Amino acid sequence: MLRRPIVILGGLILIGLLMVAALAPLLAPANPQRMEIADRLKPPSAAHPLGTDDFGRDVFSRVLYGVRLSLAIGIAVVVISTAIGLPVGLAAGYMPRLDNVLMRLMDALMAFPAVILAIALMAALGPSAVNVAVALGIVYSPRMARIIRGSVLVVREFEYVTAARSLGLSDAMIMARHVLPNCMSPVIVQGTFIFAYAVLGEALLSFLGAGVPPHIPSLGTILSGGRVYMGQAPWITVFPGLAIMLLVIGLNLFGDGLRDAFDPRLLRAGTA
Amino acid sequence: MRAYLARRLAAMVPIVILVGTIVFLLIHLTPGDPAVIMLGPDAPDEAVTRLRQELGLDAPLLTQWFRWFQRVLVGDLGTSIFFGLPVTTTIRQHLLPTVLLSALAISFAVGIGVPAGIISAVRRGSLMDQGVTLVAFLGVSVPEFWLALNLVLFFSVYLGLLPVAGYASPAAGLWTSLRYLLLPAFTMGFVQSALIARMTRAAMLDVVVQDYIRTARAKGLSSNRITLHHAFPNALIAVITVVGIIFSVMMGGNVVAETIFTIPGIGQLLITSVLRRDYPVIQGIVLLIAAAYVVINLLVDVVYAAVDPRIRY
Repeated sequence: MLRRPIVILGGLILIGLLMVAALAPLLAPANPQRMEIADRLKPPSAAHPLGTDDFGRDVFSRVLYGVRLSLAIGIAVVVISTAIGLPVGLAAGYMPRLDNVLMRLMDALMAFPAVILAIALMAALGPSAVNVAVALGIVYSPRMARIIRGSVLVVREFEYVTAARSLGLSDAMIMARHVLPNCMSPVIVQGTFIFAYAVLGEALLSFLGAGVPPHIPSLGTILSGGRVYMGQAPWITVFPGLAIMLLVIGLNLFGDGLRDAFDPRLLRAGTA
Repeated sequence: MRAYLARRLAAMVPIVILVGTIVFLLIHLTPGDPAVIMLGPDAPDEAVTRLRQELGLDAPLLTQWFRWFQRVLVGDLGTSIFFGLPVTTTIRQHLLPTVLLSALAISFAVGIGVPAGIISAVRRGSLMDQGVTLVAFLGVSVPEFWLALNLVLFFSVYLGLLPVAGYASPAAGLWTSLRYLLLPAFTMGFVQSALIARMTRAAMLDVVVQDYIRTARAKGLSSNRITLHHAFPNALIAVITVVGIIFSVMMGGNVVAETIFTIPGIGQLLITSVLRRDYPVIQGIVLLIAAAYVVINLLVDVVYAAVDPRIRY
């Protein structure tokens, strides 16, 4: 019975952060890009709730916009990795002849540590928010493909699929109407975890200088900029770090809870 | 065993070819002329033409692919544009710090993770168990680089116990070298120890309900002896699997730790090469890491058979 509070807590954190992101232009006390050199490295105050950075920019406003960018990139990564992984996993699971070829390709992508492949792709694509989403989307697509293939292998043996086949439905129709809808729960669970990896991945790439360009407020670029001033102005690095953690904790709680909630059905499917 | 190894090695061939192809294609993913991007927009035309010829960019893609593989197979990864040295030499110069850092980090991860996992399984539901679960959860949610920055702030800036950043070769004295590596290795190891603890705990919980554990208890053996001699060896397979996975994550972690702590290793070389657009070096490092990962996975499977006599290939 502990399942529900976890989903609810994770969901509440996510809804809260989504609202913050959506309302960022209204909530932000200042333009995140506006520099006030006279106000540089000021500690938190009424005017600047989370202080200012080395260019006198309002850290609170920058963190709000950073959360907004993290969420946007996270959603884009989930969409891209699903757009690649779903057809691949579906085809590999449903058509044994394609299975070997497609899954070896996915294995090859998985042979690269995620961060390394993302950095290499960013080196090729060049720094921008869209490219971060594309690179991370490619990196995480094999995970999605594997999960989908695994559930398709189970679902395709069910009687209703045999029945659909005996009725003369085409493979494409069976996959779209009968197999896919019954594989959605692991996809949703995996999606939340990929979302969490994407948030961490974006922050890391931007922190290393291989993500979004430095002037764009992202949680990673704020941390990277504040790194030099850690002893003097720890607020520049503490708050974006906490924001990343809160976002990832929310996603992980939500994902863990969803996985538990979907589990009985998956167990039944596995033993059928 | 020999037949199994041969089969595994044969199965590696298509993976290695695909991995190589992905690395080869990296340079062709760049929008525009790779030679211009590497040398910068102000480079003279002759230099661009020379680099194009050097990299063989004028040939058809398939020919380039064949040539690239031919060179890689004999250990020629090309020449670094920034250093003007063979990529293999450049990588070799940066290898030692990364190996030392990884070894120390894995020691931390296993040294903290395995005992924590065992204790939390044996004392299930205790404060220690709950603590391990909480730390494991936080471990997957905390950005590693942020943890590193905070540890630097606390141990180096406030307490002044360890150097803020830098690297000293073991030739300068073991303790001096260790002082520089301690904080980065701990950061990487601590985050990974959470995963090891969680896996050890799960594997131990599966084992402690087995009949032979009850038999051992009925014989009157001490609980320490049962845990260490009867239960843990049977949970070892799961632990080895995680250590294999961690190696992969660690390669990413190295980039972070080496960048933050300015350690002149492979990870830092990769990032500086990305910023310098030194593609031959990027390709070389990525290929090396992927190859190491594939080999480590194979080794993990071989070690299974060594630690568990029930596994016969």
